[in-house]
Amino acid sequence: MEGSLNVIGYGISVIGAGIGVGIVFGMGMQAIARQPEARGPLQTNIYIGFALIEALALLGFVLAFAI
Amino acid sequence: MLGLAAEENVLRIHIDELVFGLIAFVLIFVLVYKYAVPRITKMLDERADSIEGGIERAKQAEAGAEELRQQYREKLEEAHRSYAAELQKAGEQRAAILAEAREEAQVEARRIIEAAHAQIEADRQHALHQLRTEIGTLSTDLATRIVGETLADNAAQGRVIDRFLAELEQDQSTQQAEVR
Amino acid sequence: MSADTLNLAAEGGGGLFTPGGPGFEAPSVGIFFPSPWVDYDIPMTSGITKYAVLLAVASGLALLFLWWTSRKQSLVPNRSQSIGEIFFLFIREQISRPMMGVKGDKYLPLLISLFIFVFAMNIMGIIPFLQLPVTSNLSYPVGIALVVYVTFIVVGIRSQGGVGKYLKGAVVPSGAPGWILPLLVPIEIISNFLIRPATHAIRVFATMFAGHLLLATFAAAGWYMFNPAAGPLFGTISVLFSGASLLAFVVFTAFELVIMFLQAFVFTLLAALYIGQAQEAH
Repeated sequence: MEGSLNVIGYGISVIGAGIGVGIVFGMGMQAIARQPEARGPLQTNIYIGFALIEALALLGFVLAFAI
Repeated sequence: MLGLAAEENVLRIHIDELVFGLIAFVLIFVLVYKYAVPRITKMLDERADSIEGGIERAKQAEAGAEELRQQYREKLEEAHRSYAAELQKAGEQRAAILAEAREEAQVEARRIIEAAHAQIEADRQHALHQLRTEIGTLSTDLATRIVGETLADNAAQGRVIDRFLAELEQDQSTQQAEVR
Repeated sequence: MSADTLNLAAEGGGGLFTPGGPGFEAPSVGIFFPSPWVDYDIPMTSGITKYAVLLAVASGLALLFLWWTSRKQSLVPNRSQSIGEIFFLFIREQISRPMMGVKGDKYLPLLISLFIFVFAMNIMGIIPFLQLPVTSNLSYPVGIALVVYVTFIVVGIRSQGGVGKYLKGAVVPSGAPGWILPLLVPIEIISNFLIRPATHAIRVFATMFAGHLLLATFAAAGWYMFNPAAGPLFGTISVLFSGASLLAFVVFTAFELVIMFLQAFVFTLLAALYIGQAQEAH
């Protein structure tokens, strides 16, 4: 069996990012449901948070292949 | 592996491919910027304008129709009014004609009554006169017969007759008063 | 199945239940390195490969779509015009307006080009016989992410009135106490000017890369397990397995289509977000 141990590490690291993205969007949906009129700013902030969190997963992806 | 180049790192950045990508993107961007978006926005604006213009036209037509309706209503009211006025005038005329006719009839009736009264009076006078003459003649005859030739003198005769008639008249008038 | 996948699978195809046959070899990342047809041996270049051809096809499709949808313009929209207008309004109402407001309308051409370009490059992954998303080569997403990077920096400098003001607004968080700034400022610099463009490009690349690898694995497995010559019982089992793999391939192809659309959407949305953030005063 061949392969890189990096990929295992990447898989583990992505768990955190996955949970984070789930929380961001879940909470975002909840917030929009509670206050639909604030949809615009909430959506912006949801995507900012999503981008920041997914940045971590993507850093893991890059490091898994770069090292 | 057939048909595959030697494996490199997955995270490779090839300058030529990057440049190809940029060229393709610039092509698409130029088409979008110079051709697609101006046309689409222009058409959307035009459509919005024409829809708004359509609404405006519909409003104008509605206002025109409303005005026309108002005019019709006014005309109708005017017709109603003139009809009522005509009716009233006709009623007044009718009343006037009636009154005139009644007046005329009354005048006529009065005239007829007066004529009748005059006729009656004339008849009465005539009858009275005749009666008086006849009574005079009769009484003269009677008196002649009674008294004879002595009373042939006209003047005395006339006086006697007059007195007699006056008495007679007096009697008659008292009688008439009693009767009345 | 792409030609590469077919080649890969044909090498050891029909191996299940064959005694002494070749073992299953899952498609490796090698499928993302097609050999060049024209190679000009300059460092950091790949030559004309399948990617370049697919890029031409994708841009051609995008240009054709744009031309077709905006060719005839009339007050009462015809079919192609309606499609173009729906697309235009989708970008405006779902991406531009929520992120930038009405003042972001002047960036609509950029966003429309970004969306349609990324989507056309992605969609190459599920078109039969082409089946290689152009964005699974990092060079292309990096190119357009670079365009967005330059755009939002230029927009920021222009709308804030000067490089210094823009950098201060972008790097120093407002309302943070002074003692924490030495910690925050480097984080903000790295986050805003290094990680942001990098993740912007890598996000679409990684998704397309992984999705294509998944599809290739299903296709290769289906081909590997198809072995009706292995006897009545084993032959039936192998055909059933192969059918299941094929079904999964079809289902995941549909899933990939959604992902491709979503990634193009997210790419454009984040571009709008970055430009909008640079635009508004801090």
